Amino acid sequence: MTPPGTEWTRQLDAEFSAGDEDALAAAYRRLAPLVFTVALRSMDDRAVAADITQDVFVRAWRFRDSFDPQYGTVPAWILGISRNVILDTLAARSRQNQMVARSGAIAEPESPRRHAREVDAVTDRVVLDAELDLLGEPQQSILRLAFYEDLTHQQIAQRLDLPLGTVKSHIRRSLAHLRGRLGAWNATS
Amino acid sequence: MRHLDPDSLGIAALDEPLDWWSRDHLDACSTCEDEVAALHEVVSLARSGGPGRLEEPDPAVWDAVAQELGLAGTTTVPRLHAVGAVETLGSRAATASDPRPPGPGTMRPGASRGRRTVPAWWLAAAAVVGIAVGGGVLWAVQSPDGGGRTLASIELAPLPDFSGSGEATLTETGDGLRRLDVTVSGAAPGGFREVWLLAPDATRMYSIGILDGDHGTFDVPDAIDLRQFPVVDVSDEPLDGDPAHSGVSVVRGSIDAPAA
Repeated sequence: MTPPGTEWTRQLDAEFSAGDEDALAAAYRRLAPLVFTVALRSMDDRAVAADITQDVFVRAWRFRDSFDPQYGTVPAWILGISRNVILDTLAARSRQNQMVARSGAIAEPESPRRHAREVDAVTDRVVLDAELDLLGEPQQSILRLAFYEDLTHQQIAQRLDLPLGTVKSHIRRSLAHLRGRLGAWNATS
Repeated sequence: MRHLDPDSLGIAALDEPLDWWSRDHLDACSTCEDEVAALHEVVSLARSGGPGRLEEPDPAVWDAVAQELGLAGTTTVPRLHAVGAVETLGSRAATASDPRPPGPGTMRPGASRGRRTVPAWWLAAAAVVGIAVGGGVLWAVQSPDGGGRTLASIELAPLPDFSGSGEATLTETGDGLRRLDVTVSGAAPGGFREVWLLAPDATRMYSIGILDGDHGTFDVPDAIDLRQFPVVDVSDEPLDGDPAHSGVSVVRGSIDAPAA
Protein backbone atom coordinates (compact mmCIF):
# COMPACT_ATOMS: atom_id res chain seq x y z
CA MET A 1 0.00 0.00 0.00
CA THR A 2 1.22 3.49 -0.75
CA PRO A 3 1.65 5.40 2.45
CA PRO A 4 -0.40 8.55 2.87
CA GLY A 5 0.95 11.79 1.55
CA THR A 6 2.93 12.07 -1.62
CA GLU A 7 6.07 13.04 0.19
CA TRP A 8 6.02 10.29 2.77
CA THR A 9 7.89 7.11 1.95
CA ARG A 10 8.33 3.60 3.24
CA GLN A 11 11.96 4.48 3.78
CA LEU A 12 10.93 7.20 6.26
CA ASP A 13 8.73 4.68 8.09
CA ALA A 14 11.76 2.44 8.54
CA GLU A 15 14.03 5.32 9.60
CA PHE A 16 11.48 6.57 12.11
CA SER A 17 11.16 3.12 13.58
CA ALA A 18 14.94 2.81 13.76
CA GLY A 19 15.19 6.02 15.78
CA ASP A 20 16.47 8.43 13.15
CA GLU A 21 15.71 11.93 14.43
CA ASP A 22 15.58 13.32 10.91
CA ALA A 23 12.60 11.06 10.26
CA LEU A 24 10.87 12.56 13.29
CA ALA A 25 11.53 16.04 11.92
CA ALA A 26 10.15 14.90 8.55
CA ALA A 27 7.06 13.50 10.25
CA TYR A 28 6.59 16.77 12.10
CA ARG A 29 6.93 18.76 8.90
CA ARG A 30 4.43 16.64 7.07
CA LEU A 31 1.93 16.01 9.87
CA ALA A 32 2.08 18.83 12.40
CA PRO A 33 -0.38 20.95 10.36
CA LEU A 34 -2.84 18.03 10.26
CA VAL A 35 -2.54 17.23 13.96
CA PHE A 36 -2.74 20.89 14.92
CA THR A 37 -5.75 21.56 12.67
CA VAL A 38 -7.67 18.52 13.93
CA ALA A 39 -6.91 19.56 17.52
CA LEU A 40 -7.85 23.16 16.86
CA ARG A 41 -11.16 22.26 15.23
CA SER A 42 -11.94 19.78 18.02
CA MET A 43 -10.95 21.97 20.97
CA ASP A 44 -11.50 25.45 19.53
CA ASP A 45 -8.51 26.74 21.49
CA ARG A 46 -5.11 27.47 19.91
CA ALA A 47 -3.11 27.06 23.11
CA VAL A 48 -4.70 23.70 23.86
CA ALA A 49 -4.21 22.61 20.23
CA ALA A 50 -0.51 23.54 20.46
CA ASP A 51 -0.14 21.49 23.66
CA ILE A 52 -1.86 18.53 22.02
CA THR A 53 0.42 18.77 18.98
CA GLN A 54 3.49 18.78 21.22
CA ASP A 55 2.17 15.85 23.23
CA VAL A 56 1.39 13.80 20.11
CA PHE A 57 4.91 14.09 18.68
CA VAL A 58 6.57 13.49 22.02
CA ARG A 59 4.51 10.33 22.50
CA ALA A 60 5.05 9.20 18.92
CA TRP A 61 8.81 9.34 19.46
CA ARG A 62 8.86 7.85 22.94
CA PHE A 63 6.67 4.94 21.91
CA ARG A 64 8.21 4.39 18.49
CA ASP A 65 9.12 0.85 19.52
CA SER A 66 5.43 -0.01 19.38
CA PHE A 67 5.25 1.21 15.77
CA ASP A 68 5.85 -1.57 13.28
CA PRO A 69 6.55 -0.39 9.73
CA GLN A 70 5.46 -3.79 8.47
CA TYR A 71 1.90 -3.18 9.51
CA GLY A 72 1.38 0.52 9.18
CA THR A 73 2.68 3.92 8.23
CA VAL A 74 3.91 6.70 10.49
CA PRO A 75 1.29 9.22 9.24
CA ALA A 76 -1.63 6.90 10.06
CA TRP A 77 -0.01 5.92 13.35
CA ILE A 78 0.48 9.54 14.40
CA LEU A 79 -3.12 10.38 13.52
CA GLY A 80 -4.13 7.48 15.78
CA ILE A 81 -2.10 8.93 18.66
CA SER A 82 -3.57 12.33 17.91
CA ARG A 83 -7.09 10.89 18.17
CA ASN A 84 -6.30 9.42 21.60
CA VAL A 85 -4.74 12.58 22.96
CA ILE A 86 -7.64 14.73 21.74
CA LEU A 87 -10.21 12.33 23.21
CA ASP A 88 -8.35 12.34 26.55
CA THR A 89 -8.31 16.12 26.54
CA LEU A 90 -12.02 16.28 25.70
CA ALA A 91 -12.80 13.78 28.46
CA ALA A 92 -10.85 15.83 30.99
CA ARG A 93 -12.70 18.93 29.89
CA SER A 94 -16.04 17.09 30.23
CA ARG A 95 -15.21 15.93 33.74
CA GLN A 96 -14.50 19.49 34.66
CA ASN A 97 -17.76 20.62 33.08
CA GLN A 98 -19.64 17.92 34.98
CA MET A 99 -18.25 19.17 38.23
CA VAL A 100 -19.45 22.61 37.28
CA ALA A 101 -22.76 21.04 36.21
CA ARG A 102 -23.26 19.48 39.62
CA SER A 103 -22.80 22.87 41.11
CA GLY A 104 -25.65 23.98 38.88
CA ALA A 105 -23.86 25.99 36.19
CA ILE A 106 -23.91 23.73 33.10
CA ALA A 107 -26.06 20.73 32.26
CA GLU A 108 -25.60 17.71 29.95
CA PRO A 109 -22.36 15.77 30.30
CA GLU A 110 -20.99 14.95 26.85
CA SER A 111 -20.69 11.32 25.90
CA PRO A 112 -17.27 9.86 25.02
CA ARG A 113 -18.78 8.06 22.07
CA ARG A 114 -20.04 11.29 20.63
CA HIS A 115 -16.60 12.80 21.10
CA ALA A 116 -15.02 9.92 19.23
CA ARG A 117 -17.44 10.26 16.33
CA GLU A 118 -16.84 13.98 16.14
CA VAL A 119 -13.06 13.71 16.31
CA ASP A 120 -13.10 11.03 13.60
CA ALA A 121 -15.28 13.20 11.38
CA VAL A 122 -13.02 16.20 11.93
CA THR A 123 -9.94 14.07 11.18
CA ASP A 124 -11.44 12.77 7.94
CA ARG A 125 -12.23 16.28 6.80
CA VAL A 126 -8.78 17.59 7.67
CA VAL A 127 -7.15 14.69 5.81
CA LEU A 128 -9.40 15.48 2.85
CA ASP A 129 -8.37 19.16 3.03
CA ALA A 130 -4.73 18.10 3.07
CA GLU A 131 -5.19 15.78 0.10
CA LEU A 132 -7.14 18.45 -1.80
CA ASP A 133 -4.20 20.79 -1.29
CA LEU A 134 -1.94 18.19 -2.86
CA LEU A 135 -4.07 17.86 -6.00
CA GLY A 136 -2.72 19.63 -9.03
CA GLU A 137 -4.54 22.21 -11.05
CA PRO A 138 -7.05 22.41 -12.54
CA GLN A 139 -8.27 19.38 -10.58
CA GLN A 140 -8.18 21.21 -7.28
CA SER A 141 -10.15 24.21 -8.53
CA ILE A 142 -12.69 21.94 -10.22
CA LEU A 143 -13.39 19.99 -7.04
CA ARG A 144 -13.49 23.05 -4.82
CA LEU A 145 -16.09 24.64 -7.11
CA ALA A 146 -18.12 21.42 -7.14
CA PHE A 147 -17.87 20.83 -3.39
CA TYR A 148 -18.10 24.26 -1.91
CA GLU A 149 -19.76 26.48 -4.48
CA ASP A 150 -22.17 23.81 -5.66
CA LEU A 151 -21.54 24.54 -9.31
CA THR A 152 -22.60 21.97 -11.90
CA HIS A 153 -19.95 20.56 -14.19
CA GLN A 154 -21.27 22.78 -16.99
CA GLN A 155 -20.86 25.89 -14.81
CA ILE A 156 -17.37 24.76 -13.78
CA ALA A 157 -16.37 24.23 -17.41
CA GLN A 158 -17.58 27.71 -18.19
CA ARG A 159 -15.94 29.32 -15.17
CA LEU A 160 -12.55 27.69 -15.80
CA ASP A 161 -12.86 27.79 -19.57
CA LEU A 162 -12.26 24.06 -19.92
CA PRO A 163 -13.98 21.56 -22.23
CA LEU A 164 -16.95 19.80 -20.65
CA GLY A 165 -15.41 16.37 -21.19
CA THR A 166 -12.19 17.39 -19.46
CA VAL A 167 -14.10 18.63 -16.42
CA LYS A 168 -16.20 15.46 -16.21
CA SER A 169 -13.16 13.26 -16.50
CA HIS A 170 -11.22 15.26 -13.87
CA ILE A 171 -14.18 15.04 -11.50
CA ARG A 172 -14.40 11.27 -11.74
CA ARG A 173 -10.66 10.66 -11.58
CA SER A 174 -10.03 13.10 -8.75
CA LEU A 175 -12.90 11.72 -6.66
CA ALA A 176 -11.55 8.21 -7.16
CA HIS A 177 -8.04 9.42 -6.27
CA LEU A 178 -9.25 11.13 -3.07
CA ARG A 179 -11.24 8.08 -2.10
CA GLY A 180 -8.10 6.00 -2.47
CA ARG A 181 -6.07 8.47 -0.42
CA LEU A 182 -8.64 8.52 2.39
CA GLY A 183 -8.60 4.74 2.34
CA ALA A 184 -4.82 4.70 2.62
CA TRP A 185 -4.94 6.94 5.69
CA ASN A 186 -7.64 4.90 7.36
CA ALA A 187 -6.44 1.42 6.54
CA THR A 188 -3.66 1.43 9.08
CA SER A 189 -4.80 3.82 11.75
CA MET B 1 -24.28 -5.32 -20.24
CA ARG B 2 -23.76 -1.66 -21.01
CA HIS B 3 -22.71 0.32 -17.94
CA LEU B 4 -22.76 3.97 -17.11
CA ASP B 5 -20.26 6.10 -18.99
CA PRO B 6 -17.35 6.25 -16.49
CA ASP B 7 -17.35 10.02 -16.33
CA SER B 8 -21.05 10.05 -15.50
CA LEU B 9 -20.22 8.20 -12.28
CA GLY B 10 -18.51 11.32 -10.94
CA ILE B 11 -21.36 13.54 -12.07
CA ALA B 12 -23.84 11.25 -10.31
CA ALA B 13 -21.69 11.27 -7.16
CA LEU B 14 -21.98 15.06 -7.10
CA ASP B 15 -25.77 14.70 -7.07
CA GLU B 16 -26.08 16.29 -10.47
CA PRO B 17 -29.08 15.25 -12.53
CA LEU B 18 -28.51 12.45 -15.03
CA ASP B 19 -30.19 11.63 -18.31
CA TRP B 20 -33.07 9.15 -18.11
CA TRP B 21 -31.10 6.15 -19.38
CA SER B 22 -28.35 6.64 -16.78
CA ARG B 23 -30.93 7.11 -14.03
CA ASP B 24 -32.76 3.92 -14.95
CA HIS B 25 -29.50 2.04 -15.23
CA LEU B 26 -28.31 3.20 -11.81
CA ASP B 27 -31.54 1.94 -10.27
CA ALA B 28 -30.98 -1.47 -11.79
CA CYS B 29 -27.21 -1.98 -11.69
CA SER B 30 -25.56 -2.57 -8.34
CA THR B 31 -22.04 -2.35 -9.80
CA CYS B 32 -22.55 1.22 -10.96
CA GLU B 33 -24.57 2.07 -7.88
CA ASP B 34 -21.74 0.91 -5.58
CA GLU B 35 -19.22 2.87 -7.58
CA VAL B 36 -21.29 6.05 -7.30
CA ALA B 37 -21.86 5.44 -3.58
CA ALA B 38 -18.11 5.13 -2.98
CA LEU B 39 -17.36 8.40 -4.76
CA HIS B 40 -20.30 10.02 -3.03
CA GLU B 41 -18.67 9.36 0.34
CA VAL B 42 -15.90 11.77 -0.62
CA VAL B 43 -18.44 14.35 -1.78
CA SER B 44 -20.52 14.23 1.38
CA LEU B 45 -17.41 14.34 3.56
CA ALA B 46 -16.22 17.47 1.76
CA ARG B 47 -19.62 19.13 1.90
CA SER B 48 -20.14 18.28 5.55
CA GLY B 49 -17.48 20.74 6.60
CA GLY B 50 -17.25 23.45 4.01
CA PRO B 51 -13.93 24.70 2.70
CA GLY B 52 -11.18 24.49 5.24
CA ARG B 53 -7.49 25.20 5.17
CA LEU B 54 -4.87 23.53 7.27
CA GLU B 55 -3.27 25.68 9.91
CA GLU B 56 0.26 25.42 11.14
CA PRO B 57 1.31 25.36 14.77
CA ASP B 58 3.59 28.03 16.12
CA PRO B 59 7.31 27.22 15.61
CA ALA B 60 7.64 27.14 19.41
CA VAL B 61 5.79 23.81 19.38
CA TRP B 62 8.64 22.08 17.58
CA ASP B 63 11.15 23.67 19.94
CA ALA B 64 9.18 22.27 22.85
CA VAL B 65 9.10 18.80 21.28
CA ALA B 66 12.84 18.87 20.60
CA GLN B 67 13.57 20.07 24.11
CA GLU B 68 11.29 17.59 25.84
CA LEU B 69 12.82 14.72 23.88
CA GLY B 70 16.35 16.07 24.20
CA LEU B 71 16.93 15.73 20.45
CA ALA B 72 20.57 15.92 19.51
CA GLY B 73 21.05 17.64 16.19
CA THR B 74 17.59 18.88 15.38
CA THR B 75 17.27 21.97 17.47
CA THR B 76 16.32 24.10 14.49
CA VAL B 77 12.70 24.29 13.53
CA PRO B 78 11.95 21.96 10.66
CA ARG B 79 10.27 24.01 8.00
CA LEU B 80 6.75 22.87 7.48
CA HIS B 81 6.17 21.51 3.99
CA ALA B 82 9.90 21.31 3.60
CA VAL B 83 9.83 18.10 1.65
CA GLY B 84 9.31 18.05 -2.07
CA ALA B 85 10.15 20.31 -4.89
CA VAL B 86 8.36 23.21 -6.43
CA GLU B 87 6.27 22.15 -9.34
CA THR B 88 4.79 24.49 -11.84
CA LEU B 89 1.14 24.05 -12.56
CA GLY B 90 2.09 22.78 -15.99
CA SER B 91 4.16 19.92 -14.69
CA ARG B 92 1.34 18.64 -12.51
CA ALA B 93 -1.18 18.89 -15.30
CA ALA B 94 1.19 16.89 -17.48
CA THR B 95 1.56 14.07 -14.99
CA ALA B 96 -2.21 14.02 -14.56
CA SER B 97 -2.40 12.84 -18.16
CA ASP B 98 -4.02 16.01 -19.33
CA PRO B 99 -1.50 18.13 -21.13
CA ARG B 100 -3.92 20.96 -21.74
CA PRO B 101 -3.03 24.03 -19.68
CA PRO B 102 -5.94 25.47 -17.74
CA GLY B 103 -7.57 28.00 -19.93
CA PRO B 104 -6.09 30.39 -22.40
CA GLY B 105 -3.26 32.28 -20.95
CA THR B 106 0.22 33.54 -21.04
CA MET B 107 1.81 30.48 -19.52
CA ARG B 108 4.89 29.73 -21.48
CA PRO B 109 4.66 26.45 -23.30
CA GLY B 110 7.97 25.37 -21.84
CA ALA B 111 6.78 25.87 -18.28
CA SER B 112 5.69 22.27 -18.01
CA ARG B 113 9.21 20.94 -18.20
CA GLY B 114 10.40 22.30 -14.89
CA ARG B 115 13.81 20.66 -14.90
CA ARG B 116 15.29 22.73 -12.12
CA THR B 117 13.81 21.78 -8.80
CA VAL B 118 13.84 24.35 -6.05
CA PRO B 119 13.39 23.11 -2.49
CA ALA B 120 9.88 24.15 -1.53
CA TRP B 121 10.92 25.20 1.93
CA TRP B 122 13.10 27.94 0.58
CA LEU B 123 10.24 29.61 -1.22
CA ALA B 124 7.80 28.87 1.56
CA ALA B 125 10.05 30.45 4.15
CA ALA B 126 10.51 33.43 1.91
CA ALA B 127 6.77 33.59 1.36
CA VAL B 128 6.08 34.04 5.04
CA VAL B 129 8.64 36.78 5.38
CA GLY B 130 7.59 38.44 2.18
CA ILE B 131 3.95 38.59 3.07
CA ALA B 132 4.66 39.81 6.57
CA VAL B 133 6.78 42.62 5.18
CA GLY B 134 4.56 43.27 2.18
CA GLY B 135 2.86 46.63 2.19
CA GLY B 136 -0.76 47.40 2.80
CA VAL B 137 -3.37 46.85 0.18
CA LEU B 138 -4.73 50.01 -1.30
CA TRP B 139 -8.16 49.94 -2.80
CA ALA B 140 -9.55 52.29 -5.35
CA VAL B 141 -12.64 52.39 -7.45
CA GLN B 142 -11.13 53.89 -10.56
CA SER B 143 -7.60 53.49 -11.74
CA PRO B 144 -5.78 56.77 -12.20
CA ASP B 145 -5.58 56.51 -15.96
CA GLY B 146 -9.22 55.56 -16.32
CA GLY B 147 -8.26 52.32 -18.08
CA GLY B 148 -10.70 50.08 -16.22
CA ARG B 149 -11.73 49.34 -12.66
CA THR B 150 -8.94 48.85 -10.12
CA LEU B 151 -9.45 45.66 -8.13
CA ALA B 152 -6.37 45.92 -5.96
CA SER B 153 -3.19 47.87 -5.72
CA ILE B 154 -0.36 46.58 -3.60
CA GLU B 155 3.22 47.39 -2.71
CA LEU B 156 5.86 44.78 -3.41
CA ALA B 157 8.38 44.54 -0.59
CA PRO B 158 11.94 43.25 -0.91
CA LEU B 159 12.84 39.83 0.41
CA PRO B 160 15.70 39.45 2.88
CA ASP B 161 19.06 40.14 1.24
CA PHE B 162 17.44 42.17 -1.51
CA SER B 163 16.81 45.85 -1.86
CA GLY B 164 14.31 47.45 -4.13
CA SER B 165 10.57 47.68 -4.11
CA GLY B 166 7.69 47.74 -6.48
CA GLU B 167 4.02 47.89 -6.95
CA ALA B 168 1.39 45.80 -8.62
CA THR B 169 -2.05 46.91 -9.72
CA LEU B 170 -4.83 44.57 -10.71
CA THR B 171 -7.47 46.07 -12.95
CA GLU B 172 -10.52 44.78 -14.72
CA THR B 173 -10.74 46.06 -18.23
CA GLY B 174 -13.93 47.11 -19.94
CA ASP B 175 -14.30 43.69 -21.53
CA GLY B 176 -14.01 41.86 -18.23
CA LEU B 177 -10.36 40.77 -18.47
CA ARG B 178 -8.06 41.01 -15.49
CA ARG B 179 -4.78 42.78 -16.06
CA LEU B 180 -1.80 42.98 -13.73
CA ASP B 181 0.53 45.94 -13.96
CA VAL B 182 3.89 45.41 -12.28
CA THR B 183 6.60 48.00 -11.74
CA VAL B 184 9.79 47.36 -9.81
CA SER B 185 12.78 49.43 -8.84
CA GLY B 186 16.15 48.47 -7.43
CA ALA B 187 19.32 46.82 -8.61
CA ALA B 188 19.41 45.33 -12.07
CA PRO B 189 18.76 41.58 -12.07
CA GLY B 190 21.48 39.04 -12.72
CA GLY B 191 19.43 37.68 -15.61
CA PHE B 192 15.87 38.86 -16.22
CA ARG B 193 12.87 39.52 -14.01
CA GLU B 194 9.91 37.17 -14.17
CA VAL B 195 6.49 37.66 -12.59
CA TRP B 196 4.69 34.79 -10.83
CA LEU B 197 1.46 34.24 -8.97
CA LEU B 198 2.11 31.96 -6.01
CA ALA B 199 -0.08 30.04 -3.64
CA PRO B 200 0.47 31.33 -0.07
CA ASP B 201 2.68 28.35 0.78
CA ALA B 202 4.64 28.89 -2.44
CA THR B 203 4.40 25.25 -3.39
CA ARG B 204 2.32 25.98 -6.49
CA MET B 205 2.67 28.85 -8.91
CA TYR B 206 1.97 30.29 -12.32
CA SER B 207 4.39 32.25 -14.41
CA ILE B 208 2.50 35.16 -15.90
CA GLY B 209 5.29 36.78 -17.84
CA ILE B 210 8.61 38.51 -18.09
CA LEU B 211 9.26 42.12 -17.14
CA ASP B 212 10.57 44.36 -19.83
CA GLY B 213 13.10 46.32 -17.77
CA ASP B 214 11.25 47.72 -14.79
CA HIS B 215 7.73 47.34 -16.01
CA GLY B 216 5.29 44.85 -17.44
CA THR B 217 1.56 44.44 -18.06
CA PHE B 218 0.10 40.96 -18.06
CA ASP B 219 -3.29 39.45 -18.67
CA VAL B 220 -4.35 37.18 -15.81
CA PRO B 221 -6.21 34.19 -17.27
CA ASP B 222 -9.70 33.67 -15.89
CA ALA B 223 -8.74 30.15 -14.83
CA ILE B 224 -6.34 31.47 -12.21
CA ASP B 225 -8.17 31.89 -8.92
CA LEU B 226 -6.44 34.76 -7.16
CA ARG B 227 -7.77 33.61 -3.82
CA GLN B 228 -5.63 30.54 -4.29
CA PHE B 229 -2.68 32.31 -5.92
CA PRO B 230 -2.65 35.70 -4.24
CA VAL B 231 1.08 36.33 -4.00
CA VAL B 232 2.69 38.46 -6.69
CA ASP B 233 6.33 37.40 -6.86
CA VAL B 234 9.11 38.86 -8.99
CA SER B 235 12.11 36.60 -9.45
CA ASP B 236 15.56 37.04 -10.86
CA GLU B 237 15.98 34.34 -13.52
CA PRO B 238 19.29 33.30 -15.01
CA LEU B 239 19.54 33.16 -18.79
CA ASP B 240 19.68 29.39 -18.86
CA GLY B 241 16.50 28.56 -20.71
CA ASP B 242 15.11 26.70 -17.71
CA PRO B 243 11.40 27.52 -17.32
CA ALA B 244 11.21 26.73 -13.59
CA HIS B 245 11.35 29.36 -10.87
CA SER B 246 14.98 30.09 -10.03
CA GLY B 247 14.21 30.21 -6.31
CA VAL B 248 15.59 33.75 -6.26
CA SER B 249 12.66 35.98 -5.40
CA VAL B 250 13.37 39.69 -5.23
CA VAL B 251 10.13 41.40 -4.22
CA ARG B 252 6.72 40.16 -3.21
CA GLY B 253 3.29 41.28 -2.10
CA SER B 254 -0.06 39.64 -1.57
CA ILE B 255 -3.25 40.59 -3.36
CA ASP B 256 -6.29 40.47 -1.18
CA ALA B 257 -8.66 40.68 -4.07
CA PRO B 258 -11.99 39.09 -4.75
CA ALA B 259 -11.77 36.55 -7.57
CA ALA B 260 -13.20 38.61 -10.33
